[in-house]
Parts: sequence; C-alpha cells; structure tokens
Amino acid sequence: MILETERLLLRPLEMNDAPRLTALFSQYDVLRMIGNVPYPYHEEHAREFITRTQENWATETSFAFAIVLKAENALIGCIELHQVIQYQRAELGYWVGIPYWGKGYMTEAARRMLRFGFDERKLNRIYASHFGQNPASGRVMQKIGMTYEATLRQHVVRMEEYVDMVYYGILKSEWQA
Amino acid sequence: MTYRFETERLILRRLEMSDATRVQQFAGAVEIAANTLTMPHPYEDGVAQIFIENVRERWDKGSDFVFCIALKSDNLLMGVIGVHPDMGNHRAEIGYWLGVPFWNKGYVTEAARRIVQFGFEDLRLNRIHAAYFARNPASARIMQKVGMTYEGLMRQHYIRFGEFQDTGFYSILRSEWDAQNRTPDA
Repeated sequence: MILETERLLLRPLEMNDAPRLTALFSQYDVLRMIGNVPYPYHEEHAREFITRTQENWATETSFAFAIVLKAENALIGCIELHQVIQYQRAELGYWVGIPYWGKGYMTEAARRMLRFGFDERKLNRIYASHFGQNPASGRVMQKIGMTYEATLRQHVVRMEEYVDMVYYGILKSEWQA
Repeated sequence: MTYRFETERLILRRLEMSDATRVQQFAGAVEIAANTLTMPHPYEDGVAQIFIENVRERWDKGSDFVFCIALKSDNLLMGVIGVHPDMGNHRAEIGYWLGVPFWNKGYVTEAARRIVQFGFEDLRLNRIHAAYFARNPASARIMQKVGMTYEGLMRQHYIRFGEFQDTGFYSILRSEWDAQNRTPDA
C-alpha cells in the first residue's frame, strides 16, 4: 500500500527504516510532544515499533506509514491511523523530523490520511489529539478541516509534568474529498 | 482494602454476591443500558454473578474500585459507582448507574461527592473525570454538582444500540478540589 501526494509518498515502515527513524524521532523536541514513547529513544525501540506496525497492518488495527519526501527519497516522519472498527472511528497520530518542520509536509500527509480513512477504510469519524504546549500540531488539525472538540486538563504525565490533551475531530459528513 | 463510606443517607460498600438479584433487576432496565457504554442488554441470568466476581477480584488487586450504593436504612443495592484509576497518569475515571426507581433524589450526587474525596484523599489522584452521552444530560448535571468542569464533546465518538453517540467530558483537578473544600479558617 503506497499513497502519493504532491511532494510525499506514504508507505508502510520497513525494518531498515530503523536507523533513520531513530535519528529523527529521538530528538527531545519531537519526543516530548508524543505520549507513551520511551525517552531516551534507542534504535531497539524503533525496531520494536516497526515490528508492531507490521503486526497491526496484518490485523487491520492500525495503519502506520513512513512519510517519504520524494525529492530526497528519505523518510522524514511517520503518520498512523489507529482504528476502532466497533465505533467506525480512528485516531490519527503523526510526527515529522525537526529539519522538515514548517514546510506543510505534515498537513499534506494528514490530508491524504483522511482520504485513506474515509474512502478506503469507510470510517465515520477521525480524531487527533495534541499536548497543550504543542499548538503547531493543533494547526495541522485545523488545516485539514478538523473541529476543536475538547481539552482534557492535566490528562497525562509526560516527562514528569502534567500536560493537557487537546482533541480535534472530523466526521465523514463534514469531509470534502 | 476495606473501603466503606457513609454519607448523610447512603452507604458505599463493596459488592457482595447477595447483591446479584438486584443488580440484574435494576441494570436490566433499558434506560440504564441506553446510557451506559457496555451494559449487557438484555441482562441474562448469571451475568450479575460474573460481574460481581470480576469487580471483587479487581478490588482485591487494587486495579479499580466499584462500590455498591445502598441506603443506610436497608443496606440494599440501588446502583453502583466505580473509580477506575490510571496510576501512571495520576488520574481516574468515575462511572455510575442507579436503578430507575431511585432517580431524582440526589443519591448519585451524594455518592459521587464521597467517591471524589476517596480519589483525592485515599488514592492521591491529581485528576478525576467522567464521560456521558450527550442525550443523557442528567448525568452531566451530577458532574456539575460535584464541582467538575466541562471539558468538551467528542462528536459521534461511540455507537450504542446502532446510533452514534456524542460523548461529553467533565473533570475536577486536585487543586480545584482542595480550593472547594478548604475551610475558611484552615
């Protein structure tokens, strides 16, 4: 399964992505914005993650893609759609490496993932959440047409601090292909 | 742990196997099933016993605490209220249902106040939250009355009985609870 946009390819992760993924993802400013991942982050964590994404593809529980910049033929981040079939919804999660921030890559990848979720996976709702101190992630959600829904205050402990979780969502009925 | 609380009118205590008949009788009402996420419906024979067994096992492990709500006067089950902690994040979700014959008397509010105190004082939590289906505003009013703040609505987040359910969230933080319960001279 390969999805294409103007500047990007989205393809399943492969084991040989581990070194590149680790180098970009292990940066403190990336990791501290993501819940539930080890810090410090080592290549073995990346290998475990890649194995898990492959299992999740097989069981259709979650669809993780490497974001590849066509111009450099290089992995620049990841994007994942974790579905709950029972409720016809999925949660979208993503990150992109620091050298690739501020160029709209995340928005471009996330838009394509909405189409994947609504058109191919036949979902009714796609939502996403970001930490309160990471409004840039919220702007991606706004740009792809999501609506602000909730802020769960001090919902998680991350790096020994309480952080707010901000939720956005989009329904199939609101989505414009 | 032997947690057992009394409020003005209520006893909050551990569930006993002898509560099974009343669990089945009250939890089996369609009004309860429609406003909860996972309540079995119809509520078959034997399900209440399994529920009570599971609840007691989780209580012993300390993984969560589901209390029977009973009147002091007869100690008979009217409903349940549970605290489901996520200790890694110092928070818990509370959930409750009350048998239809006991509605509109403020029993759940009275129980929830005591359970919030339990969460902050005994479990040392930082945050206690609760969720409700938007079509059930009575549940949200309980959350308001125990001092919780509205946090938002996740649209069509669940499906119950074949219909999408908007799901609302309320919470109270330890700092807010401390402020609400501070005595003037303390």
